[in-house]
Amino acid sequence: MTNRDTDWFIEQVRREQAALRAFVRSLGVRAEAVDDVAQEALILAFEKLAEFDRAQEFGPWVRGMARRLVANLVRKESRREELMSRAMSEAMLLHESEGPSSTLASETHLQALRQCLGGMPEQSRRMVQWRYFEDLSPAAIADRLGRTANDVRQIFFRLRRALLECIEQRLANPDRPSPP
Amino acid sequence: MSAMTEFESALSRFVEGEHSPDDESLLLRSVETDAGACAAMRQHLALEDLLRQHGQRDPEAFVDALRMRLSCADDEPFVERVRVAMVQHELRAMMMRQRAWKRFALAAAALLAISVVGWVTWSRGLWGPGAEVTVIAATDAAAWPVGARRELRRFTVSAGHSLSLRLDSGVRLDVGGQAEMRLTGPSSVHLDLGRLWIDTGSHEDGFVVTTAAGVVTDLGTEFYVEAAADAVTQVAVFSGEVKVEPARGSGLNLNQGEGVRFTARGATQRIAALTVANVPGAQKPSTLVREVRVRWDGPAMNRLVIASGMKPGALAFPDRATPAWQAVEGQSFPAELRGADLVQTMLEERWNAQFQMQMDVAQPCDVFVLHDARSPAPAWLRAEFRKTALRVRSGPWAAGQRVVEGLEPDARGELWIACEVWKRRVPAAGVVELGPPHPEGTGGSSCMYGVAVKQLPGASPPRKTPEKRP
Repeated sequence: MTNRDTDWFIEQVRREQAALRAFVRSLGVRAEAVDDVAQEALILAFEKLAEFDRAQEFGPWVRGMARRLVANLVRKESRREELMSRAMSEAMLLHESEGPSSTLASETHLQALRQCLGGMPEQSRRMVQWRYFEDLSPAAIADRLGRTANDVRQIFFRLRRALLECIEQRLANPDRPSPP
Repeated sequence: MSAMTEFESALSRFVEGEHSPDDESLLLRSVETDAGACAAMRQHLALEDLLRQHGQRDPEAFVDALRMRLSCADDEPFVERVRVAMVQHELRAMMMRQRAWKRFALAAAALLAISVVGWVTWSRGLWGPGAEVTVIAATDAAAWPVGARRELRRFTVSAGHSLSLRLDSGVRLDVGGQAEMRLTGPSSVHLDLGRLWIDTGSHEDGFVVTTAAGVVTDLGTEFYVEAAADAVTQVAVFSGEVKVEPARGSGLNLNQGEGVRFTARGATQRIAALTVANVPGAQKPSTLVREVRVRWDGPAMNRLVIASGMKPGALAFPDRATPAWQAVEGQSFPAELRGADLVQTMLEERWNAQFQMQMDVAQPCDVFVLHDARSPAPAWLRAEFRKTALRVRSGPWAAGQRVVEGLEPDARGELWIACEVWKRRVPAAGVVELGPPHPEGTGGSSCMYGVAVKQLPGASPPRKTPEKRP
């Protein structure tokens, strides 16, 4: 492998890594194990780089590797701790009929997400800040808000749903301003 | 606000990793029967991960960690370089103990092609305070006269060369080219690029090596630091303890036999393969070659024998940092040579028409001489040895050295010296003598030979050599 190959590979990783990690997570890999599994898939991809046709898209190819890797995790007793639930991952792999690019797995999705986050109400932005920047648990956020942890989990569920709708609308109409 | 369905409630807990077995059963049923439920679940998980990524302060950290894993996926090259550094270190120490180094350096100074391999800036203040050093060994004695004292700040050592310095504090630095570094004080050095062996001797704790990746502080030890152009730093500890502190992230302490690689972003990876067993000094001594003595224009010197050391990638000459024994392009490394005891010879010995090596072998064996194919075989080699059909090569060699004059680079632009393999069967224990590398009056740009000794097939291993009486 030449330095030029490595540089090219790293450039692809830089472009695709966010989508790859999201894809790995969407197959039921624990949040804490996502980076390890994604890196393992990338190392496999690097080893097989000579087999890759660079006229093709790198993202779907490497997500295909990640998919096979997660399938191996499902089979291996010793690595099941990296999954949230073996049965759920197995079921999600079975239903992954649309191929590895079927989830939030493109740069346009990420761009839309950033725009949608910018347009969120102040309270929602603060929640995101606490949960994902300060890494507070739902229970700790509940303490700050005087609510229950279950309330907070439901708030986050609705927040994600709103973001998903916003992303969908943005992709359908990229020039539309952010909702208030 | 509308009430959430059971599925949504269960999913909200699942995404947070706080689901119950009942939640899991409900979700599983939904996923198995409803493609929409499966898609929703995956979208929530994926979005949750993107939000996590959004919250990460350093988005480049993932790429950085991967880059380190790719560049260092295999520990073996690093361990081999550490081994090479140790062999060189031991040989230099041995030569100095026997006070032969002055002769060696003078001979090298007189005969080496003059090439500037390093530069020193003398302008005070340009690179900080610097430090007073004494040159104690150098492969380019013209640029670095042995015994010279210098106030040194920033300096470089070219590929294929090495330099040993002693600071006034007693700390010894062995630098392997290509290297760029800056002495930032009597107890500190900044390593931009290259390989550095640090023997702190009796110096009090606290000698500091900084690299682009972070800080390595000795706590009374002998250690090795390697800084790569991609800002990955690797550290190996041979005695005592060092503290490793990446520029960002938490630090860790390393003890004897431990190694780690790390980046500025705090990605760290233990080097599992680095154990005391990798250290030449800790390897079992050769039981086949009891002693090797070399005689030229100075006092006789003992020579290191590396048990089972002959293999692809074995260091060819300990006074050169990089050339190694390798198979000829398109061929495999000769099985007959693989695993033989490797007797170290110095490249600079190629100039010496009086060179003599005496090896005391403990049992019947095959002695192999790896002779530069460009040079006619000397009379002693033709008389006592048989030329085999085996071939190996040494390299890659740095361009510009006299030893590779006239050589054409291969397809990769690398310079290699092809070697014939000569063999002599030694039927009984005793002393084997080898002579100078070239017929008198020839030599010039030709290379020194390599030596390997192998037990005869089917022979039982010799018993351990008894301790010699003084």
